[in-house]
Amino acid sequence: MILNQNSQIPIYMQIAEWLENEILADRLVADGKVYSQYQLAEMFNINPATAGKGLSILLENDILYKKRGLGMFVVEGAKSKILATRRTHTLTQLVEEIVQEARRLAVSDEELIDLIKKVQQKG
Amino acid sequence: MSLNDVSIMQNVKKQVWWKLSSYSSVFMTIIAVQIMASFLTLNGTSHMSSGNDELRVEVSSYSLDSILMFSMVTVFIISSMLASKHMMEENFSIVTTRLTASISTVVAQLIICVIATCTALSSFYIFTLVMRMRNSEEQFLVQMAVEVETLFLFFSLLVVLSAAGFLVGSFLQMNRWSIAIIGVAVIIGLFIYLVPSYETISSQDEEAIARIWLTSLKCLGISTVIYAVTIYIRNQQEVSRR
Amino acid sequence: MIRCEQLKKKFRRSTVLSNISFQIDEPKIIALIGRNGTGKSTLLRLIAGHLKPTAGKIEVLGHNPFNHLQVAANTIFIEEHLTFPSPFTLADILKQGATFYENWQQELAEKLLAYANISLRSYHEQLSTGQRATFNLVYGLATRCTITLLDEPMNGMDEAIRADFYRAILKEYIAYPRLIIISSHYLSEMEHLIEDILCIHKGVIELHAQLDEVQTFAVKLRGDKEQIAPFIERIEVLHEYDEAPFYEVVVPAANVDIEALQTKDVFVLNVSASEVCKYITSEAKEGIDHVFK
Repeated sequence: MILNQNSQIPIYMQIAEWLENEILADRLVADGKVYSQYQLAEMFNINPATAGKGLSILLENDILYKKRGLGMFVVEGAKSKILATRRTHTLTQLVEEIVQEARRLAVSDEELIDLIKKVQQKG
Repeated sequence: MSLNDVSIMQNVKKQVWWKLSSYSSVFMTIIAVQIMASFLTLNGTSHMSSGNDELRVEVSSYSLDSILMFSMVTVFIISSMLASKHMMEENFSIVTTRLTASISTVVAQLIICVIATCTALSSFYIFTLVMRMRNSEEQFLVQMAVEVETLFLFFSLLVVLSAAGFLVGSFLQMNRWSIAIIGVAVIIGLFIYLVPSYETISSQDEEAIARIWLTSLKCLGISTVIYAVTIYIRNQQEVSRR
Repeated sequence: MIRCEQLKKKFRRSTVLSNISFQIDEPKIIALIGRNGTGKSTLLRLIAGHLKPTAGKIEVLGHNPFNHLQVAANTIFIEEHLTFPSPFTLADILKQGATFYENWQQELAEKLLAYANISLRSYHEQLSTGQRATFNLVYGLATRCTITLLDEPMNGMDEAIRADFYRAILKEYIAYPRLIIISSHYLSEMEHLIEDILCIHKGVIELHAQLDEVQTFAVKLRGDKEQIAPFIERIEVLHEYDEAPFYEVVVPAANVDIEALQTKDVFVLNVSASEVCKYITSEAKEGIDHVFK
């Protein structure tokens, strides 16, 4: 993965997302060790503190846990947790975009819901 | 990440060694000057001749005087160069402080004085021997040895000049021309004070010998004071940019 | 590790630093940013103990760095004008490093110089500007001093080797953490490597923050002037570009309703840390185009 330096998303968030992707792809497994902040720093050519922040976020969100002196490990059930959050998040974002676009095109809320129902019925 | 602990003695020792190896060109200069001076003094000796039809006596005496003069000037110039900005700046690629840098420069200068004394002595001997071998006539070598006290005096005089050069060089580096001129004036004054005692050095008696030692000690005493003052002043100096 | 309190430095005619106060407590990589002539080098030289403060207090590793042997033994200051004894070859200089610095990495130095195609048999004065910069940087990294001060270390190096040596700095930092302060004009090049930014402007510390804070500090709004105006009414404008039909303004992100703006067809763009530093240190809000109006 190449980091997007110009993105609105801070680098440490991009690192966190990348780690989540690795978990989803089963390249990082439950109770398995994840990369240290120094390894991440070397891999992505960033400051270890930045990498460390990415790890901290996942720690806070209960995706990773810390074993004193040994490093960070993947929480059991992390994969499903990530899937759930992502689903909600992505879907919510898409819906928001549709609502915005609809409003821009002067389509009323009721018309929009009708449209959605129509598409759902199509199958 | 542990901190390095360094003692002043260790640092000074390392610096002296480093300075001597980086000043190799300086040594070449000294030796070259000594040799040149020896060449030039071959004529600056005193000759006496007297005789009648049957016997002719020529007395040639060679002395260290001219070599001394040359050496003193050289050492002065070298010391003031060592005190200069350029040399000081090189110091910042190594572990150093004003104090250890000054002390190690002084030690290096003293070593240079010792070397200068030794090379002066050697070139003196070499040339008198060369002169001896060149003249095929009967010769008697009246006195070959140079006394310890004379040698020590030679060394002491070089040390004074070295200290003087160091002081003047330091002032020049600080762009204080007026003080540098005063410094030079003081040094010239010192010489006028010391020279009378120097003139009477040629005699052999015990009193003279004692006087020679005394003069040497005076020189070293003055040098110590000058060095101490210079080191103190340099200790306050910031590193100035080119 | 380093603490400055109301530090002031005045040279004969001008006051370069008027009131510098900051504190760094742990090893990290910090960028020292500022316009030309704002006193970055002066600050570094004060930290290295080359200069004495005119007023105020500075403490490095718990001591006043001026003329202090312990501080000198653990500090290295690498700059463009760093000189070495002229009769020394580069190999001799490396030997010199080994003599004086306890943590000296001879093998690392040799390998890096071989990588940069610099022969150890050359003399320091013979090197080109870029090679000299490379050598000086290698020397500095090889000392592994706790306080490593790099004053515009990349000046003169070509782009390719700059990238390599930024990575070399990172790798060395990971291998042996230490406090590295890099003063540079090229913040954008090294943004990804640093942890904190220290920005000097007009003799004081304008900004001392973590990288991501600076990166998210401001946003650039691009779009229709009338649409944007109500949102930035009472907010400080860091930069403005008004050339019809383009209108761009940079404002602190905290006070702006980004979501609302996005619905109005206004682009909300990221502002990099180097741009933020540029805006907070500029004299004029309008930028260079204003000169040409």
